[in-house]
Amino acid sequence: MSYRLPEGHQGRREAFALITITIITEIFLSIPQKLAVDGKSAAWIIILIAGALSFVGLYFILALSRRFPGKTIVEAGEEAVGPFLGTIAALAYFIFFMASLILFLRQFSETIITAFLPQTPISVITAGFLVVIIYSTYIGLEAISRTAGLLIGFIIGSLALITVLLIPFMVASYNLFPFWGSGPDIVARLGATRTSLFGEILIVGLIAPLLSGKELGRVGITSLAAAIGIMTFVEVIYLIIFPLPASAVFTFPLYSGARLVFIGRFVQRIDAIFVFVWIITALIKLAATMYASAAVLARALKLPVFRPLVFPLGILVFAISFTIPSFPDAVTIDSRYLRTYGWIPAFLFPALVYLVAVLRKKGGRGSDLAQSNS
Amino acid sequence: MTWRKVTASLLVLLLLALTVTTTGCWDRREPEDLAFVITLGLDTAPNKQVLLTVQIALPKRLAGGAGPGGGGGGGGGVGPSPVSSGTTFVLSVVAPSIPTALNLINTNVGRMVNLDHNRLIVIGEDMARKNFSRFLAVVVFPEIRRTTFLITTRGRAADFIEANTPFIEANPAKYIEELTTANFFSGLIPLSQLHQFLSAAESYGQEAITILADVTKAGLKPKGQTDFKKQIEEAMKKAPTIALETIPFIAGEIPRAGGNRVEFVGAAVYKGARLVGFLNGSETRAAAALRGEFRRGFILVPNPLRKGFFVIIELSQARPVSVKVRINKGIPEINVRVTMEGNIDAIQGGGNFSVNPAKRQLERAVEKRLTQIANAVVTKAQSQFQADIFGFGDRGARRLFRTWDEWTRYKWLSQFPQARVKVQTSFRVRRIGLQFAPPKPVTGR
Amino acid sequence: MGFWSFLRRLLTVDDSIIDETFSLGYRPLGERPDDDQWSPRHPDDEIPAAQAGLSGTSDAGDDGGKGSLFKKPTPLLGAKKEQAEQMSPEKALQQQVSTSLDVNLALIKTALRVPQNKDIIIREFVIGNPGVRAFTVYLEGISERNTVNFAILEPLMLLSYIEGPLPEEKNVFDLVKDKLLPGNQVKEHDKIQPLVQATLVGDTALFIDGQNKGLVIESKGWDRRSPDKPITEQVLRGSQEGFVETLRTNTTLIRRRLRTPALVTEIVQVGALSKVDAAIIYIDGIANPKLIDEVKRRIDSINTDFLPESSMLEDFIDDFPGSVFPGGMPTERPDRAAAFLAEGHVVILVDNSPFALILPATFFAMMHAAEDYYVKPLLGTFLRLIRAVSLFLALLAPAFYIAIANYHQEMIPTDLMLSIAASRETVPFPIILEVLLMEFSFELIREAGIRIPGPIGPTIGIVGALILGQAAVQASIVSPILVIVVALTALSSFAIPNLNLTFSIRVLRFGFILAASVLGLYGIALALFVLIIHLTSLKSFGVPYMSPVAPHRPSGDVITRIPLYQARRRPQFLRPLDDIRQGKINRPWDPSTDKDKKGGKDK
Repeated sequence: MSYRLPEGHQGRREAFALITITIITEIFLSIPQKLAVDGKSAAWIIILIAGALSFVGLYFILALSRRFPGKTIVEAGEEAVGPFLGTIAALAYFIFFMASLILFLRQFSETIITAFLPQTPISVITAGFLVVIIYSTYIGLEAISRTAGLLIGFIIGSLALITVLLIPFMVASYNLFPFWGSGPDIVARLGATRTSLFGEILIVGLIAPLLSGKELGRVGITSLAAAIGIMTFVEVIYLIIFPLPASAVFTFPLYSGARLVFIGRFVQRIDAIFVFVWIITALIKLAATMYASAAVLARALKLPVFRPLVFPLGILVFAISFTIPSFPDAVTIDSRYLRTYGWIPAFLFPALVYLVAVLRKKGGRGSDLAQSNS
Repeated sequence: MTWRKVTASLLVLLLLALTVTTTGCWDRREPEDLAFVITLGLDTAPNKQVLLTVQIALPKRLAGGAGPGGGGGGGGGVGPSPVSSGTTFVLSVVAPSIPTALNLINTNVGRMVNLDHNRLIVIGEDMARKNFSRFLAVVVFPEIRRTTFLITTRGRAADFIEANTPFIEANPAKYIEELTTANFFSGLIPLSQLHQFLSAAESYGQEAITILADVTKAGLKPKGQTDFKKQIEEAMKKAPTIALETIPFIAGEIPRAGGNRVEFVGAAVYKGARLVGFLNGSETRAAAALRGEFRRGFILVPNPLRKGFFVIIELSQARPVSVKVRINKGIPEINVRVTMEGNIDAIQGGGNFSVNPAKRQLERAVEKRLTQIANAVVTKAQSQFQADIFGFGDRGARRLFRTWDEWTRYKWLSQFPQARVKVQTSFRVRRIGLQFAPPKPVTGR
Repeated sequence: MGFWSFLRRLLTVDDSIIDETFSLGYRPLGERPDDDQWSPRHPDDEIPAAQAGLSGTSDAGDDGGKGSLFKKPTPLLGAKKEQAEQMSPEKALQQQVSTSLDVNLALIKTALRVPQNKDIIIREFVIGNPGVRAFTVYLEGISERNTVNFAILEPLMLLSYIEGPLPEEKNVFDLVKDKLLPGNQVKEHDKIQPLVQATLVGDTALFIDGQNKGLVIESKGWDRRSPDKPITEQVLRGSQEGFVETLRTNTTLIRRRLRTPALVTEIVQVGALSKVDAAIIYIDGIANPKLIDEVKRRIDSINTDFLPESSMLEDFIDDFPGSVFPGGMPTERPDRAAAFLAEGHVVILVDNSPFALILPATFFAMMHAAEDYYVKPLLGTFLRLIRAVSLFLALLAPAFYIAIANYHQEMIPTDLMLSIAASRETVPFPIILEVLLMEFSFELIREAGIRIPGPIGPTIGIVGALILGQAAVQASIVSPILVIVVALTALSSFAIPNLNLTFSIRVLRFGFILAASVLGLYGIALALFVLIIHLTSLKSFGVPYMSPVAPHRPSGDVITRIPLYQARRRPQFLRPLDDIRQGKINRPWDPSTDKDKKGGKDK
């Protein structure tokens, strides 16, 4: 049974941009700092390890999509493990996306308050976000991914620019030593448990029907690789610029980095421009995640359309994001729960569903995944 | 439907009216409602409080460019006075903490105090020696940036700020920036922004230094109270005590007359966040060279061909300084290689240094001199301050350790005073200026 | 368009909005004609039956006689004539041509409201010797006098003698039509309505006594503007011809540039009262047939009375009437229209309108000017870059000024900040009010400038803008920085080539100002995102509005101006039937411009 949720046409670059942006935007939150606390100067190695391990998760998501061409992981799950368990899995995906959305929204709103508008009440900022996100999701995935494809050049460019501008502060390359930071064993353990950093790759499973199988594989792999590369790079830069006790305490790591730009008399205090670009990046990610939540929920509840769900979900997100008492609480919940256990809905469930599908011999042509490399 | 249209349009109109006429959409601040603080000064006050001094900029009175009031510029309204240079005014207040102090300042300044354009934080000697680390917590305050310059004054910061009347610049912010960055290129002051200071202070492998400044007795006083002649006499009196090849001054001691009443020379050395001593001009330069921050500077060496005369060389760093550290039975052994190059700027007493062996002689003389200075400052750092202000730990020793715990357990900063440091300098002459030999006036009998 | 209906739609389950209304069809990119065997189309090549358009008034179907079972008795002649005189004009139009000349005369006079209507000229004369009575009807001014006199009346009146005595009645009509009328286009009709319609467009209608058919002879000719410089799109190097108000001249201008039999001009009539000719022009074999059919379908659906200008046509067939962005690209230049035709677009020309409408519309095509192609590639790229920057400035400059001066003062260098603060001390208004005031005055000046008569016109521009601004600054009503910002914005908006787009930007600018005044840079970011989402969701005739950037197809033609010898393929977003436009190697004597031997740069 295929649901008619036609979301138009996806191009390769748009999908790539969408997925990459959805994953890397969290680097603008406290991730660099949290990693620096645990991993010290080897925080970037943690990202690499986590990224490498998340490829396993991606493999299962792609395999599942391959096995059930034309269906998203939700429907594939229902076909593979039956309606009841399939719905459970779908709800797990839904909760994952919602959690990502709510926590990110709250943290980013706080960032805007600290960086831009200290006295504005946070509800205004969050409401502003939500209005735009609801509108964007309502217009549809096509528009969101096209916007992502349009803007990804600017976003990568702004990261490159900030790197270049901070070169005067990068003489302290010794900040990357001691190489193993808190020790290779700790680093490895942290790397293994932080695969949830890349959990948003799950969205690949959702756009599966819109791209052909081979394309889907290429898009998934390239975007995950790009995301890993960019996040590692950013972490490295962050560690070089800010020596250790400092890098472990910034509430807004990248923003503090942007504040440091100082070249001559003119190019200083321009952090507002970077935050401007980051806001747009965050909007793309939020819209994509909101779409993912709505689409997953719609399919899980067997609704033919997802748009009516967007507005209520928006209100829900708004309300829940304010049940978190304070910003440090949000950061803690994000890193302790979402980023530690997020791999369960994002990777484990698709993996289990896939294995069950193989065992029960559901779906077709399950075994030419080797061709997804390119 | 019309009723709804009416409500909707009324709502929109209301919103528009609000945004246009209200004086604040929470964060909206009109530029003329702000008081821009250019300099911030911290001093100790009794009972663990802080004396906060602010220098607030007065906006230039530009009445529409081509209008009649255009030329009046900085002088309009407020003339030079003991605590105002015409473009800024100074204000001090005693309070338990910095944010409290800022609030108190707002009790008499009619505009919102705003630190967005703050350029400089001045730390009084007293505070630097005692409880500075308590007020380091102010960096958490979002309006303070890590790119703010940091200087330490001998004496009170409040006096310093008040005496700081730049004459060449109407814009005090620009003055500070020019001074702290341009002067950096002569080597007589280190590069010291809050970022560098905090990075060094919090690091296990180096200690921090800041720019040193002071008020002098020389300098132009406002309202024509300067006794220029007397200042020159004072300067002359200091002359015989100066060692010829060095700049042994710390701030406040340069023999001069006129100019600004403050000067920025030398460095203040910190252990952690506590001031422990000063470096004079040439020591700062040497330390800068060893830190790898040296850009350009002049050095005098005795002329090897003519006794009693000097050759003036303009030095610059040719290659990055290489620091190699080995840990031998727990004691560090540090090998530093400094590669310099330079132009001959002036040859007192004559002599052609464009060919060997004279050139080589000169180069060796310079190398000897440089090594001497470097060793002197290293010894001073090790014995007098017991602080690794050169960053040898971070730059050389850190990579020898595998994990962070090992590094912190080694406690480099305590090991440094016992370390064996060997400095090697190499110098090459590159250019010799516009003439091969200096002018040689000839007279008749 | 209805805020509450929009909200209602947010919550309904009926999702008909996502119906893919129209799409050009997805052609997998794999199918391509074999590169090696491609060659430019030879003019003599056969093409599938193309309709070479003939200007003819199509038989707008009228009711005709209702076939009733009972035939009314044919009234006597005189009674019929009286009947004709007393009919209503509408009824007169429905009648068949009668064999009696007098009845026809009466019918024509009733239908055309003669003698009140003094434009209509009716000339009665005699053909042949002894002669048959006849009369012609034409409209003075629209018909060409010489044609009527010498190509219609003269042969009928004079040359009919040469033929000898007239044959019997049956053959008179054929004789006249085949042998006596040297007019190059003749058509016969047996109903009054098309004959009347023909006179209204400038042709001459001929009625012969005893014949129940009428003849229409082409005799159009009216005072027309000859092709002159296009007013809105001027270039330095390039043709200076622009479209004029006459459809025929316009189609000629295009035909001269595309001398291929594949160029098809279909003509339909739009508007019940106006009945103007609208020409749908495309190149058969390149333009996607689905596109052509959709355009025709939409135009046929137009059910209005009056259509003076192609922009109104655009209104009717627009994909997104609710958006500020234009759904069709107007152009005054035939060379641009021809270039778009060669890529696979469809061009619509409306009689009386000097603006051709190019469909489908894409955002980036609207930012391109003809000049980009007439100068060297690098210079063209430079021009486009300037235009891109001006687009941003026109949209965002005042908003950024407000955001930075009100919310992010730290971004301004201290010198400038102090100047701004100083200059604003004497200004009583908040920045937002200042900006709105200045923007409003600028819009006022612009509007007024359009209507000011000739000699004072340019002066007002200078007077208004500069002196007003200067005086305002000196009176301390606005600050000088703001005058610069507003002037820069206005200049930038003039750099945008497309008129509609300029208007859109002008309107959107105020939205951004509002967003910036409430939430600073955050507001601008939100508004900008909404704008981009809106733009990327638009589809004009099935083509995404932001092609070729949004669904990304590598194309050197967005900001950079690709050298023509590298533009091998036509734009993919139009799904043309034949997408290769050039051979592989266009400069065989120059190895450096041969990117790779395999097939040139893929467009």
